[in-house]
Amino acid sequence: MEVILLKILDIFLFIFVMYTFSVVSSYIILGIISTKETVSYFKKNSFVNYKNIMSSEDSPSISIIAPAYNESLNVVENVRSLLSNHYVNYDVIIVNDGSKDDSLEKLIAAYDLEKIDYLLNEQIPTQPLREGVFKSKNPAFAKLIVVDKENGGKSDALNVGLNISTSKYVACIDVDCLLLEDALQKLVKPFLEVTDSKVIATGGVIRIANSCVIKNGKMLEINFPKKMIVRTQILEYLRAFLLGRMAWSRLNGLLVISGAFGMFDRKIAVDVGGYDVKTVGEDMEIIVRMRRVMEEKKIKYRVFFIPDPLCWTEAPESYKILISQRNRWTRGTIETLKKHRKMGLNPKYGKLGMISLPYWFIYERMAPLIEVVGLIYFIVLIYMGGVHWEYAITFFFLAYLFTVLFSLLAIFTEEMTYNEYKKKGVGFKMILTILLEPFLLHPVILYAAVRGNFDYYFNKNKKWGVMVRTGLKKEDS
Amino acid sequence: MNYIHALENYINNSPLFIQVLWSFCFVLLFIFILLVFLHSSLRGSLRKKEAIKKKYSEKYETLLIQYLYSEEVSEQQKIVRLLNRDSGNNFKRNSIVNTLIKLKDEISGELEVAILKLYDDLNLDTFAISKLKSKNPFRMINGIRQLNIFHVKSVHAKILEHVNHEDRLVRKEVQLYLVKLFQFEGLFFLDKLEAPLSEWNQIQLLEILKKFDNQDIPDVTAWLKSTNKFVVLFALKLVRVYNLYEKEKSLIDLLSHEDQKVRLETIITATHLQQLSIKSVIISKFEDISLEEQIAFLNFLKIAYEPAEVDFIHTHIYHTDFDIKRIALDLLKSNHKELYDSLDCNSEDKDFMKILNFMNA
Repeated sequence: MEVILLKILDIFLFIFVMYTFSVVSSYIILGIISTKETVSYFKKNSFVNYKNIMSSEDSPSISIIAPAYNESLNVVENVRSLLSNHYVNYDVIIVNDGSKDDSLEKLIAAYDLEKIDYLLNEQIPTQPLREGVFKSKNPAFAKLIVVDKENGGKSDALNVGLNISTSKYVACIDVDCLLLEDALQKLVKPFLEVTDSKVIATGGVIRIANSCVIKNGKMLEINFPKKMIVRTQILEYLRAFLLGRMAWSRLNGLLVISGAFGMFDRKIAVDVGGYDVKTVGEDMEIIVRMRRVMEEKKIKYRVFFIPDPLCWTEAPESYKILISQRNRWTRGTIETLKKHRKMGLNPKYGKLGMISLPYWFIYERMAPLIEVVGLIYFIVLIYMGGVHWEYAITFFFLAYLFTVLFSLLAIFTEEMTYNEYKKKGVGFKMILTILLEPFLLHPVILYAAVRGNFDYYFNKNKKWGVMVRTGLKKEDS
Repeated sequence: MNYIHALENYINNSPLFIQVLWSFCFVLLFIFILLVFLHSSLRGSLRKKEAIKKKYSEKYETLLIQYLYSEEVSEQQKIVRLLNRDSGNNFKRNSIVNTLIKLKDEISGELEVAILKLYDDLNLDTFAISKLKSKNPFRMINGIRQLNIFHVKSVHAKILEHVNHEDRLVRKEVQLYLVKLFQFEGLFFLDKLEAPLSEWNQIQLLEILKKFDNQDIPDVTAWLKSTNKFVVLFALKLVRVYNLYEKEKSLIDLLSHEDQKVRLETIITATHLQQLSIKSVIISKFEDISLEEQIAFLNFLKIAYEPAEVDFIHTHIYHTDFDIKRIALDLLKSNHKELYDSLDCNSEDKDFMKILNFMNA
């Protein structure tokens, strides 16, 4: 019996060692590709003149679609920020997703809205309209369309936006995000620039705006937050965006475009059926589905990622909300991978099937579970007195040093390109965050991921969860 | 010291594998400490670099403004000598050029001419021209961009050589140079262009062209017949923007182009110019063209409808596409009210009924 148990433990040990080795190798490879790609993007785009594009009537039309649910507190100001974009040929579609507060009334009063007759082509089935479609009587707000509908969730609201829009491209964003004035022209650029394949979607970096100073929808001052929970998330975002997604963009293997800020070819998004209302990971799911359709139709396509800091959002400041958010992300990942499992390791789907999806499954979907099993394995070993402490401590140090070095690479990439945190003293705070993050954020993320797995299998009714926002720091105008 | 000694003893007495792992740890730790110092110095140097940049930019801006507004030739010469001396240094030369670019953007007329002359007097163009030979595309782009901004026309033949450069950013810079400095004449690079011309570049070029006082556009017929579909697409945009009504024949030919995007752009252009002659051509092959082309054509009919097309419209009120159905019904209602009123109001086609109810409301 003991022999069998020891054999099993040996097999586990082998799996853990191989898994760790492959994780470290893949991170190193992706990190190198990303850093090169980010620096190259930064260099290439330092020559670009965006003025002609944003002011040209020949530029393609873009609709910004922003779903809003009970956003009464900030909705008027957030819409003003969306309307202040410098791009000429765009409109803003706010979809009030059955809010129970006075969001609609506030919008009607602030923007002088009136109900209009609108023939809606329901290309994607959605919940019905409630009060209907509104436009402003004031020509200054001619770009604004407000749609009031029955509650159906974020995906459903985005689908209504896709149905309403007549633009060539749609930028789907969270209404509470701060979009910089040149965001649209930067995001639309790959669609217009690439000539050898069809660009189906582009996504941008999400930056964390907690503690930053914003005035009239403009970023006035970028500050490094005081709260460690927010700092660690900044570090995590930098790592994910600058060292992860840039590499996947380069390899044309990107599977996620953040729901807070992404642009799509509207026709393709509609043709594939829009957002899936049954998943909480709608942002990942739609990209995977769009890619799947393109692969099946054998059309050469690209999904791009833009590293410019164009979209700023508020990150959770409490562990409870953070856990709820990451729980949802985990469930979204599981749902998407399960739904599209047919493509995994299927050569018919090219890189998507052979690299992106397996990677995502092994290193994103399975990572928290393997980590938990590893912890249990370690506890069993302690109980059995089978821990070689000198090995354990050495491996722990190695893993920790690798993690902090990887974070440091992300910080270096940020400093050498956008260098957003210029203030004196921030450098030290960044290093401190790098050293503490594995102890402060990682266990929370791991816990949230495990909870996400549990909820996915045993608590099917759980949907979005609540994101309580404190509001971005705004200066009075 | 005892601790270090104990650690040393521990490592020396450990198995080889542990020794290797600890060696790794020490290497990573060393790299980490090194990078922390490097990070600190990088932040410091970035701040310092920015301050130096600002300092020199302010210095040269003051000198250049003095030069521009000075009425004494001797003072101007003194400034030129000073700038000449500084331009030997790479960093300072870049700073001078950047300041000149900044000032050039802010002024016009005689002062702008004076800046161009100063750029010439300082022989800064030689540095820019030397970059044309570089294998590094970014250096090339920088050089062409500078020559463009300071109107150095003499090197256009050298620059034209790069019109089909493998790097699309270089190609873009070449195109911008030619069109900005040679206006519509610069468009003749299209004759040589074999590489793609992206939508992004097309919009940029159109915006530059729109700004010129002289709007005499050259003959675009050859470009409409180009084997490069990107040149055709751009030529169609020129036809549209400059209302080239006489290109009707070419447009009809392009309706049979193999590329769907070209055909669609042709219909959009014909719509803009209200070229009625394309109607019969499209109607004759309406079922064979793509949905986008069909919708674009029906949008054309919205502004150029003739009663003789009633049968064509009537056959499309039950089309499977919502937009085609909507436009067809709309045309019917506006032009043939009796026929519209006689339509079956109990159709099983949900979209049809939805549109009808909306129109009747």
